[in-house]
Amino acid sequence: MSTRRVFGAVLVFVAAGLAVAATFLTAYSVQTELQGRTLRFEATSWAVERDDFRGLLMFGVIKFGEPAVAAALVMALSAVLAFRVPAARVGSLLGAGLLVGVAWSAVGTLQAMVDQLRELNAPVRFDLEQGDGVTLLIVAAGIGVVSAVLHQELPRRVAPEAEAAEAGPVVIHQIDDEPDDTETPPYGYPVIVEPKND
Amino acid sequence: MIDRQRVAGILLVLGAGLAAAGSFQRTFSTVYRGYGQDLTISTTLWVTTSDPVDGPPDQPAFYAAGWPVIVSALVMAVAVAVMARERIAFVGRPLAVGGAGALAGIVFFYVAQVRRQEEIIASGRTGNVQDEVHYLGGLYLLVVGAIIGLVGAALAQQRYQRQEQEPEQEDEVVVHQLDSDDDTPPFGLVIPNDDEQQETR
Repeated sequence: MSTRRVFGAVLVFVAAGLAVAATFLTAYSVQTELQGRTLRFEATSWAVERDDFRGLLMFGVIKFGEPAVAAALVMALSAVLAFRVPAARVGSLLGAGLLVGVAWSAVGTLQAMVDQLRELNAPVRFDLEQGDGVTLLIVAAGIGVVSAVLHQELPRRVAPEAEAAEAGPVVIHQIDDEPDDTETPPYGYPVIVEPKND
Repeated sequence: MIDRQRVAGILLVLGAGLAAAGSFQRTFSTVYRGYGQDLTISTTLWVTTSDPVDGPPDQPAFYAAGWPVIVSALVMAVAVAVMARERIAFVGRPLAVGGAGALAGIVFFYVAQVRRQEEIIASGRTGNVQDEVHYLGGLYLLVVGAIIGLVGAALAQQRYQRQEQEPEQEDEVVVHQLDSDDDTPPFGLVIPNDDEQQETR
């Protein structure tokens, strides 16, 4: 395995680890000031961490945990398997694709939430912030794509010798410069002629 | 036997087409009871609509995954076009996996959000435990499209891997058959115009 592909495999692991870590960080937060009090909502991709609104506003979890972990598993498994089964390298591309899809959807959902809060025309202002979880997921997806590309086998160039071999039945043999004792000398072996004893 | 690459291309285009079509269909609807007449809010990947129409106005879908689905479907279609050209087919095959993977990721994410919505409705947080979520045709089209796309992308890799393994096998052992005319015979070459004594020595 070339250095490039080993480096790619290591980066695939890094991207997978970052993706899993991202699911446990805050995905987004919403904050508002109400009568001098600060009300805040925070959620990871698995659960609500803090909800000062006590469910009055329908903020909820953006559930990208399962898809992101699935993508990370596909990437990590392919990186491990690729050391024995080269065909498994395709899995890192699949995992990276999954991760890009998940990250894109998560960002799209956050953007939709921002738009809906704006259209709500509420008397108080809600500040929605993208959390470290989504930011890290985007970074993991970026690293995942780069690493998956590095992890792949580039098409081999056809060597000039191979082209010549395909062109005609010409075979060049390399003979050792220093012949060993087992080879027949160019003028053959001397024939031993025993004298006749008449 | 039908060409595997052709089948892969057909499956990739079919998967992309189904997913793109599914994004414009209604994926799920939430039925809210207790408003005299039931209020049904249906959503595609682009907009939400309400029934009866005098309910809440149409607005962008909350899980607006329309563009991601369309772009990944386009990537899959481009990958098929690239795979058809032998010289650049090596670019198309990974592109097909990436596109199909992205589509699968988007659909997986979307299904996870719909399931969460179903859990919220079932828990009665909306104020009425009789409220319901119904899965609709668009969701099934998306899931089927994503699965078909993945199968197509996997099939597209088969030939690529087989071609890859062939040169590796050549590195192992090479056996050359030499023509008998080129070999030095065991007792040497006969030198013309040489006396017999030198030959016998």
